[in-house]
Amino acid sequence: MTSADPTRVIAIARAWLGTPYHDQASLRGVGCDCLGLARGVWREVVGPEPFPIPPYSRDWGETGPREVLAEGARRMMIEVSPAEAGPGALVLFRMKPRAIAKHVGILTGPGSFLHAYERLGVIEEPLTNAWRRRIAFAFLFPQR
Amino acid sequence: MATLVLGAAGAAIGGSIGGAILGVSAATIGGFIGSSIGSVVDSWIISSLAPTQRIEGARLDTLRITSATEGAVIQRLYGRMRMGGNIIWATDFREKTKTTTQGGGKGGGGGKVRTAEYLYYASFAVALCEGPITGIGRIWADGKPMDLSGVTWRWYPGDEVQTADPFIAARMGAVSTPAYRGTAYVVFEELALSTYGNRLPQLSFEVFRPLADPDTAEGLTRAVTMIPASGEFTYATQATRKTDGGTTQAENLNALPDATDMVVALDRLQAKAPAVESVSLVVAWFGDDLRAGSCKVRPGVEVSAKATTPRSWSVNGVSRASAFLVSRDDQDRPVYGGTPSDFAVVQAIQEMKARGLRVTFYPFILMDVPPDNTLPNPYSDNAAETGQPAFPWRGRITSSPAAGYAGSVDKTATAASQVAALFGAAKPASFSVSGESVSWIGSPGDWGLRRMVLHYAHLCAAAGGVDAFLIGTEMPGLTTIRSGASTYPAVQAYRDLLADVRSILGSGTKIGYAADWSEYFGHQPGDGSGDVFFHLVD
Repeated sequence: MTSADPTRVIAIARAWLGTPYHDQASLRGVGCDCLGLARGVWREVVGPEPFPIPPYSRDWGETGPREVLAEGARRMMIEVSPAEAGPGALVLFRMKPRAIAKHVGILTGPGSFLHAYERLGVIEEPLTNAWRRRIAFAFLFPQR
Repeated sequence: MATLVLGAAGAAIGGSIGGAILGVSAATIGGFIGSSIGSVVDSWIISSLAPTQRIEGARLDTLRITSATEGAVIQRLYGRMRMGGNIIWATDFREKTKTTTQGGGKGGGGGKVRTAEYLYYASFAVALCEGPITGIGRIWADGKPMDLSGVTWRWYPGDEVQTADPFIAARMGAVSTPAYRGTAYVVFEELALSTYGNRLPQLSFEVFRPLADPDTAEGLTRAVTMIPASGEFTYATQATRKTDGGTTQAENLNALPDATDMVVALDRLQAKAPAVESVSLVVAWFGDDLRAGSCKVRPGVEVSAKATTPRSWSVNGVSRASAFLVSRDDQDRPVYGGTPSDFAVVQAIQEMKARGLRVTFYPFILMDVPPDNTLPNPYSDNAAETGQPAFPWRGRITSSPAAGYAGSVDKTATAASQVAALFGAAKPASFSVSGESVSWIGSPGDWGLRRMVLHYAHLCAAAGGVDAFLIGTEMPGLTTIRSGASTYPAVQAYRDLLADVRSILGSGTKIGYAADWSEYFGHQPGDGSGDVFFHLVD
């Protein structure tokens, strides 16, 4: 698998800016959650989603030991080490120590990223140390 | 009466009242914000009815009050202090309606009861003082320690490079959001206000701004040693609780209810001494005899039965029930904390490395020789005296009878065999390593020094490696044992041990023996020969 052109990934992701936050949704300009954003970018960069996403609750996976999201991404995308992840990479954040990584964002530059944030919708913001420290996994979108 | 009314007004009054009320200046009133202001007014009213009386009400420190004052002075902090702040940004309260329905089931008379609850949330930023600060300790809301679990908050040190808060920027637009450079501030996102009577709570913060100039202790301290070395879960970064007949009690949440002691300790360390780069992590096992030939070195526990969640105590594959039990004092309390559980040591190493600190692993021997022991004292002629000194220093472990006493084994082959007994026969391959756990597969009765040190070499490797590793510290009584005129078997045993540790930890780890100061100038036997042997030098 070769990875998709990061400039293209970023351009597609930025088209989602301003999309309101909505749990489980994935529709540009209408509503999405953090995973919905990643799915939407996937559809535009790579193609149709390979499998339907099952319904999930806000607290899904919080009690289990399995990295469900990372395992799913690993099957479809090119894993890179978080230290090497550059612009265009999809990153998974571990929001709480010892919980699974379940927040998703897309790096848009050396010090910025784009994600769907509750109450604010899709925003691009600086990748502060607080965010950077929480990156647990990183993946590249494959070439179509 | 006034207490109620003014108490509800709360912090909104701030220091912004102009003029004077009841002859008291606004500045004074500004200092009495909060629910106590009402009681103060009450006492003024009462005292004005009886002018000869002088009642002084509760007095508050203005520094600890959150306010929202235009033109307020930005405080300057030296050291560590509990302080209030100035609200520099806030959203309108967000209202959420929660409706619950009760009753109306089968057979029940009457209608349903529908309850509507209104929940309020606020996002706000509180400026604290001039930066840069190095950390925030405890936070109090309305005078009580604030429960921060589930609260999204962050702080900015107030340096000259900090960037605008992304949450504020998303609300206000990036162009109109300042980074508040030079000002230390805290941002709370969507704080649930129901706990605080649906108003912003009075917040105060423990703020650290050490005088870390290059000529101060805080600025100069680059390395510290982490003790107590003992305590079964002291070093764990994961909350550990003991369960005892239905009650659950935290083992390692003493400083804060929601952060483990190890994490709090490291936070405070880095906040107070920001120049620290390296930490020596001390971990103790227990020796039980000053005679090298009889001393067993074992991991110990405080009590032999205790159920803990989520992890049980285990060191080198030894479970709590089969571990050495540290001795008791006259009130049946353990005289030492137990050996830190292996998982706690791994967590401590990983936590420190994740913070960018360098880690030196420092294995330690505490001597559990109780006051009423009947062990032969090696420091007596023919070792004939009964009873060794209580809780001695590990540096006194030596051959028996020791050099200089009648019947001494000094300069004999017996001395060498006593040293060999203390070190034991553990080899790097006597351990089984699986993930982050290391257990012993050698002879069960082998409680030599080598087992302890090689165990920790494996454990440090399993934890992801350490920067430096000590194979021993301050053992002059041992290193000066001679089996011949100038032959030091313990020094050779340490050299062999070092090579084995090197084979486990690799060439990237600094490995050494931490000599006692009395060993720096070699071994001077004190037998009238005038000899000086630099016994630790190759």
